[in-house]
Amino acid sequence: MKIELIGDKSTWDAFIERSPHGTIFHRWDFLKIVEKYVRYKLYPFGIFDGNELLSVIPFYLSLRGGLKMMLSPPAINMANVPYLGFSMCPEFERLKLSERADLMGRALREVDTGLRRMATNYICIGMNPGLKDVRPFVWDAYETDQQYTYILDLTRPLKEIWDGFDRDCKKNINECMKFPLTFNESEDVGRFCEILKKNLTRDGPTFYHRQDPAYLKELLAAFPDNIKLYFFYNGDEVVGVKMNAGHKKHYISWIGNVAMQKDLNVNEFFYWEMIKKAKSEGYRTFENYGTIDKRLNNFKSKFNPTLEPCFYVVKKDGLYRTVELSYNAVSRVANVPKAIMGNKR
Amino acid sequence: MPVELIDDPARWDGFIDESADGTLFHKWEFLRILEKYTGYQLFRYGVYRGEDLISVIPVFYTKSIGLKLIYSPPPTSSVNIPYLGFATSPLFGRLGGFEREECWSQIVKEFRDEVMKISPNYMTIGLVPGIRDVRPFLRNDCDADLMYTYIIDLKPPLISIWEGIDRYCRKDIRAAAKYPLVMRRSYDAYKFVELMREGLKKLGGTFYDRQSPAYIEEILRAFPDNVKLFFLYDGDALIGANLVCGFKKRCIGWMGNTTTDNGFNANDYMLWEIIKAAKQEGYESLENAGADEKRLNFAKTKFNPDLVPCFNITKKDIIYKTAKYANRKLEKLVRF
Repeated sequence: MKIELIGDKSTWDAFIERSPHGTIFHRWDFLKIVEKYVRYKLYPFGIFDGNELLSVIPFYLSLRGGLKMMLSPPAINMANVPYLGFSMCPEFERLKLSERADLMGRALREVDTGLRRMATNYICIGMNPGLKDVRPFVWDAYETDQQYTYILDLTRPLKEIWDGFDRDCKKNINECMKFPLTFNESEDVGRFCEILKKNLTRDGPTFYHRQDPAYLKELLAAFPDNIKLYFFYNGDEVVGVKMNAGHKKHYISWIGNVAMQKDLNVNEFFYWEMIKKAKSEGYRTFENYGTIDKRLNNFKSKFNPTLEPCFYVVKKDGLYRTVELSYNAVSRVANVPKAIMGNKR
Repeated sequence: MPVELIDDPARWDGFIDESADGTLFHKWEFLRILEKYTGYQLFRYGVYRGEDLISVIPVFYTKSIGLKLIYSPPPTSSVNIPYLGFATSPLFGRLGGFEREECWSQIVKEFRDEVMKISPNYMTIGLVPGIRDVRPFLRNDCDADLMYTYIIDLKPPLISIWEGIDRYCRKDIRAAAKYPLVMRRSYDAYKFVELMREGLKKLGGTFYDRQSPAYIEEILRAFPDNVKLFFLYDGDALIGANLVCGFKKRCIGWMGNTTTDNGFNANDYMLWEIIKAAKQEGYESLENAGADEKRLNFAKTKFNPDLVPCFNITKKDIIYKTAKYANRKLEKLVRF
């Protein structure tokens, strides 16, 4: 096996389209747009057995405090890409368990070798939810961070999906039907970001505060069939915004969606509309990413999705650990006066 | 959600029988045996949702060098139980996504608040494989270690299960079948432990070296329909043993599986015989634990099992962490 950088868009995209783990976020143009706006250099690696491409993994190089960090994907508040990591060949899912673990282990060893040559201090990989066996990473001294995502099965009849919703959720949606609620596609990313910035101010500097709206504009232009921006209206008033991404048979409820109208649960109504739309367009799964925030879980779990585990894996070298330890110690010392002052108040 | 101790064996066992997460290890009598052979104090907690008993969890409490320790189950080296932890009621299983998540969060929080009254320095809970949502533990300052187990689906016809087995493994099983091999049920726990000790000698002090064979003997006596010990003979020579535990529709290859080298693969032969026997008795799955050990990975996957995640929850306070750190340093010093 060998690891090489891939410079050819058509080879990369053809592999991503065939791979069961290839997502919209893996597509060449998506990766390049992220590179441009995050300003981390992109390393699109391919792992070959002879001439056969077995796996790909895109990394972004972040340099901070003299440390080299290889990230796949970059931090969520910079690109809002939930996961990236390895995308394996179509044959991978047909292999037996031990063969799959063996192939993943060998691909990982190649990546480790390649990144060691670059004197990497920190590796962080957010795995696609389809890759559930993290033992090869654990056996290779990676730390794992358990995360989850919500996935709704759209292959069931619409009535069955509806019947699975929480009782109050169904009641709220029915209530909303009495109002003139509509939605339409838009390209106004400036307004989209403004609305979200305004509504998420109390959450601190979010992705919408940090990133240029031109990032989303370029994504919309690059993937007009996949990424769609929606504005939701109650009469003429904008009551919600959402950007979704569909790729292959998978639809992801991606970014946006804030509760702008407090007296009416329009989010539930529009979420149901998006589910119906995705189903009618032939998507088989509907993902609502992000399950750590309990406040959001209360909303997302009302639709009775399946809780699917997914993983982040991290490897740190000695230098990174030492710097991290020192940084934490300094932070603690710096926080002591604040804590004392806080107590006095 | 009130948390109360349950002292009624019939109520406890009735709940475990109905619960989708209830295992044989949760049964009242099994827990009593664990309590007897560990010497730990057992608490059987029940969590209520209104009038309904929604979840139960047995925990074992002990003190060691001044540290208060909570286990569910007790350490593998003393009882060799893979998991225990929470069992939930059928009502919980019927809840929708939102209500189920809310209820699960409450169960974990209420239990944690109750158990914290003991002020444990260390707590560990091995969750049964069906429980995958560990977010309530993470929100309550616990750590969650991801582990895996292998489960073979016994629902398909025997021929399909056979065809799913690795080609070389099938060849080994066919080759072994030419020998005069016989699998017989036994009740001789002492002989079983002796065989295991001999087979695992090179691994150092294992469960079999630490625990009395009387522990296994008592379990065999208490659960004759569930826990079965099988010996594999090559002619008159004992070459392998396996302790199988079946409960409801699930069967676990619990302990054993060591064989001496006879020029054929008796391990695979024996596992195939156990698969056939378990299927014949109506079990729907056979668990073959040990998916986290890299050295066993190849051997265990030959039977085409599913890889199922399970979690171990831990909570350590600063005193426990300091004591552990000091202990490690001391051990290093002694070795030096």
